[in-house]
Amino acid sequence: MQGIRWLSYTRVHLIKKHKLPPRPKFTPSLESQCEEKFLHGGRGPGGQKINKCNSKVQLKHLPTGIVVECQQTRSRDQNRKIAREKLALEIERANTPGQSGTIREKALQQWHQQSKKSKERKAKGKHEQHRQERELQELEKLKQEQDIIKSMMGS
Amino acid sequence: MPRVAPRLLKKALKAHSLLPLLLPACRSIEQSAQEFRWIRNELPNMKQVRQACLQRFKLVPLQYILGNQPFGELDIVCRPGVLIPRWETEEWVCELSERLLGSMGPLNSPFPIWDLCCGTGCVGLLLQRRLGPGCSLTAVDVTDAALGLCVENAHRNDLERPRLIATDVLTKKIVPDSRISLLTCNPPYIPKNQFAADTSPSVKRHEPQLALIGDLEFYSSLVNTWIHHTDSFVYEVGDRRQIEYVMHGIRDDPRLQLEWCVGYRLDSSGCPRVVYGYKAESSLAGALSGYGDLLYIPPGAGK
Repeated sequence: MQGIRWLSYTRVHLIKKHKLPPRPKFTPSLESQCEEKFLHGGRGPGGQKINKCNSKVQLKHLPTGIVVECQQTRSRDQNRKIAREKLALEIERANTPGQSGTIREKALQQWHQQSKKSKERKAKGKHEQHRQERELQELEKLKQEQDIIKSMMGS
Repeated sequence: MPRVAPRLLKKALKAHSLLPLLLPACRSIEQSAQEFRWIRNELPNMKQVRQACLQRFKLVPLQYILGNQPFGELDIVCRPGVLIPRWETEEWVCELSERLLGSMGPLNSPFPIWDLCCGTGCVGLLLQRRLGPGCSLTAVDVTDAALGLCVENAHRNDLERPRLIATDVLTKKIVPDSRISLLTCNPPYIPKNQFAADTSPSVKRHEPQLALIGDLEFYSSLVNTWIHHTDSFVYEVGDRRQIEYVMHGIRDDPRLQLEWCVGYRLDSSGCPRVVYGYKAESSLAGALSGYGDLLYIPPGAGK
């Protein structure tokens, strides 16, 4: 799952973007602990008399009292799915101690740091390479100039 | 409809130059921003987005502008001239299909469904999708535009093409070739005197009145003719009076009162939305008895 990089004799595990720890899943057992509500904003006439395109889904996890809402899409079906994902994440967050977030979030953070470091390293390498090239060019120029001077002196 | 406060318009203008156009239809900044996001996501370029916002300013329904409306897991094509599916309908159809699936499992015997006043076909097609290939759908509507849209929607969602009957349910007598298992209908149910007062301007101006204005005529055709061809029915309603009309129609009929159970169902905002009925000894009784609150149970049917 993880690559290994040697950094001054200490092993460092590399995190890959496509192999992060999975997102928390919404299990069927959670479904029975939840209360789902559909909010369509306000009372008054409904049915054919009015045409509302928003559908907000509110999901409440009864044992912990966590409430999430979703009205991102026009589809109620889609909103229900997104709300469940959100709730699973919130429950995971509540269950992990400390401020640092879930395992996946930690891994993501590490991945960001790691890619930042590797970018820095690459940039440094490039810098070095360019410097050397530049020095070589200057040396060559000097040589050419010396050659010209020599040929002028000779003639 | 009260005017939009200039203060609100100004605030919307700060967020985006097109946002004030959406305010008359959406009424609040958050709602407008949400709709604007949807429009931007679905339309390819800014010119079309602008056009859409200008149309929305004239209160054209968003579904006609974008051309579709999600309904359960289906994507229903919407076009002017055919009623847009409502969330209340989606709600009762979803609940109904879950109950039917829960009590019967996947279908193995043929299950004929008739959807009267089908419109876009959303009710019948969602039932067909959820109940599987065992059920055969027959869609009935007066207008050809609706039937055409119904076929298009079946095709778009990879469903079997329903059988179509273009006729007026009220005037022509149709005799189904086989017994119907489930009869669904979302008839026009806004009484004429409420249409001017209660109906929202967008609906009044842009949706077909043929699919909106009606009162008891469809319920009376149910009680008088359709009920004899079916084992169960589910009709959408607008108010309690229409539920009571159906209930009285069955309770006061000497033959129907012996075998039919009648109930109603509220939507999630607490309004009466559905009247349903089933034969007490039919196989659907188990699925439908808990669908809503029962109003009438025939004497002798053990409960």
